[in-house]
Parts: sequence; C-alpha cells; structure tokens
Amino acid sequence: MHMQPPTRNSRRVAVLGVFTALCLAMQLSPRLPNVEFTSFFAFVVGFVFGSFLGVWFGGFVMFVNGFLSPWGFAGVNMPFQIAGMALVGLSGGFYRRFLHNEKNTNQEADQPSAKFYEVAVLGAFFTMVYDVITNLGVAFSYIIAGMQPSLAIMTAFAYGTPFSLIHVSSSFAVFAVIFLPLIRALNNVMVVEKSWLKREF
Amino acid sequence: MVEKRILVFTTLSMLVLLSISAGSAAYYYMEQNRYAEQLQEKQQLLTMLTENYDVAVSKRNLLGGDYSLLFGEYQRFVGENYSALIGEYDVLLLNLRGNYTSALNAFPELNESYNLLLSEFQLISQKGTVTKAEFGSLLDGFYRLFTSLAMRELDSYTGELNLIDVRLSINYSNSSTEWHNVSVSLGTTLFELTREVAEVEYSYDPTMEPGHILVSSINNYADGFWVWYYWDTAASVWVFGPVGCDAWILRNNGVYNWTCIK
Repeated sequence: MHMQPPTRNSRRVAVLGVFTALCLAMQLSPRLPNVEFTSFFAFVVGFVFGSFLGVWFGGFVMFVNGFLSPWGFAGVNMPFQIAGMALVGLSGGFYRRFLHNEKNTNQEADQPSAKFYEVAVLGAFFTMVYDVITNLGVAFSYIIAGMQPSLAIMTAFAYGTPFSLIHVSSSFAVFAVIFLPLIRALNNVMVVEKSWLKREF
Repeated sequence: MVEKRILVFTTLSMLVLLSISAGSAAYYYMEQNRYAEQLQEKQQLLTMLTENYDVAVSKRNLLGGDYSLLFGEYQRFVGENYSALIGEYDVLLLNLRGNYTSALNAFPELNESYNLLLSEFQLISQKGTVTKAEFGSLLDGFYRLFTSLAMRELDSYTGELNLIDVRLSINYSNSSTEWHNVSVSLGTTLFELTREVAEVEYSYDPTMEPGHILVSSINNYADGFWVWYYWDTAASVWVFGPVGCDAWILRNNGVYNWTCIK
C-alpha cells in the first residue's frame, strides 16, 4: 500500500481548502453575469488532485452557490449546475491523463504556446458544455411552467446564447492567462506529485 | 499528416464556434419572431384604435350637433319659462347615457357627475317654470360632462396602445409607507391607479373643479385627510396635488404619493 508523507498530505488539504475558500468567495461575490472562476478552479482541482476530487469540488461549490448566489436561489437549475461543474472537474483529471499518455509523442504540442492554446480551448469547450447542461435546466423549468418541450429547449438555448458568449469568452481568457502560471506555482510549493506535474509542465 | 492532438483541439474549437453560431442564429430567429409578433399586435391595436376613433368622433359630432341645436334654441328663446326646452334636454341626456354607457361604467366619478346632473334635471323639470339661469346651468353641466366623457373615452382607446411605468407611495400617518411599482395604460388617472393598488373609499364633491374625488380612506386607514403629491423631477421636490386625483393624468416614470395628514 502506498503511503504519502504527512507533509504532502497536509499541503494537499491546505491547498484544497484555500482553493475552496477562494473559489466560493469569488463565486458568491457580486460580479458581472457569467464571468466566473469556478470552472477554472474545478478544472485545476481535477487536474492537480484527480477527477474524483474535481467532481466533488465542482459539485460542492455549485451546491453552495445554488443557495447563496448573488443572483438568487438557483431552484430547479441547481442539479444541472452541479452536474455541469462536476463534469468540468472530471475533465481536469482526464486532461492530466491525456497529457501523460501523449507525453513525448509530439514535440510541437509540448511548446508553451501550444499548451496555452489547448488549455484555453478546453476551458471554452467545457464552459460551453456547462452552459448546454444548465440551459437544459432552464428549459426544464419552462416545461414545468407549461411550455411546450421543443419550444422550451429552443427558447432556453437561444436566449442563453448571449450569456454563453460572455461565459465562453471569459473562460477562454481565464484559462489561457492563469492556468499555466498557477500549475507552475503549485509545482514550486511541492503540492502533489511534484515530479509528475513537472513532467507535464 | 495532421497530429491527432492538433486535430482534437481544433475540433473542440470548431465545436465551440459552431455551438455559439447556432445559438446566435436561434437567438436572432427568436428575436425576429418576437418583433414580428409585437409589430402585428401593434398593427392590430392601431387598426382597432382607428376604428374606435371613428366611432368616437361620430358620436361626439352627433351629440355635439344636438347640443348645439338646443343651445341655439336656448339663446334665441324669447320668454320667461324655458320648460318648453326640457323635453329636448331629456332626449339629449338619454342620448348621452346611451352613447357613453361603457365610459360611465368604467369611470365612477363621471357616473356620479351624470347622476347628479340627472337629479338636478329631474328636480327642475318638475317645476312649472324653468328660468333661463336654471336651464343654462343644466346646459353647462351637460357640456362639461359630455366633453369629459368624450376625452376619457379617447384616452382609454389610446391607452391600449402602450403601457407606462409609475411609482406610487402610500404614507400612512403612523409613519409606515408602502411603495407600488406599476405598469398602467396611457391616460390612467391617479384615482384609477390608487384604486388598482389599494382599497379606496371616496366621496364626490361637485363644487371641486377639475376632479371631483376626495379620498377618505386608503386600505381602511382613515385617521386624517388623504392628500396627494407628485414628484417634480426637475426641482427634486414633492408638489402638492393641484387638482382632484381623478383629473390628474399619470406620466411615464412619474412618482406619486398619498399622505394621510391629521
């Protein structure tokens, strides 16, 4: 059985706690609609600590957000938000595996500019997936209110698009600008499997 | 050969762009539909307004003509007893009721004016001799009511075209204040707005002009006199209501207040 040194464990818990607090504080503060950092943090947690914790992190933050969001109680949409953000956390873990498998097979893709592009695209893509899931939640609430299902889905997606545009663009920027420096900083504080992370970045 | 990794991320980028594009197209389509529906609705309202306007103008011209005839007879009448004209006045009053039944039912203050005029007419018509002043007073009362009814009817037609947003505060003398943000039709009076948001008891004062309504209680609170104010945006002050609340037409984004003073 593999045992981690106590220092590493306590650092993992500390970093996870800091991430959770920081993410909740940012998520629950008044801000521009659809400009958020939760998907970024969920992805990072999934990437650094694995898919399991990424799923729990994303789900937990959206659960709390469902009740305390400055935009009000999420209501019927809350399970969809939780599922969407959990998926982002899951994808962070998968991305790490993907990098691990692809390592050293493509020198061009290992260039920093390529990573920057990859992470930004992933951020935009999973934000879009999150929006699709939550738009389904909105459509579901319309259906409950008595709207015809096809019209409800079309209305939710159509009127969600301007918000999605902001969401996807902001996530693209956030992932592109912050992800690589943050992962490098985490390497420096020896958080988790330092050598393993260093191989990827 | 294109690398698998590059292909994957390019595909993801394309998916994001396609999804946003499809959503934007759906958004554009839905908005176009909404605007088309709104336009059609407005067009129907305009058509209805034109039709109603035609009917209203015909009624007004017809009754105005009848009134003018009677007024001419009154002016040219030689003699002391005007009871000869009472029959024509009776017909005129009946025509007024018949032509403006819906307006009289919709506006209780105007209905009150009509009933008072009718009572005055019945009182005078029972007398053997009707003086020039008495008949003149009946004619004046008729004309005022007739013009008010015609104006309010036209206002109610144009009011269907659009809504305005107004705010009303009700300040009870026990210091509690409640605010109401309401969308109402164009041409709505303060009296109508107040009746829409609260339970109102009122009395009719025929000597007050313009507007005959005195509010005696709002939401069963009658511990004092109810007076109203409007907010003068330019001067940033509350201005005491200069006319009866039933004669004050609300303006868009107007702010109004009822205060109970002791």
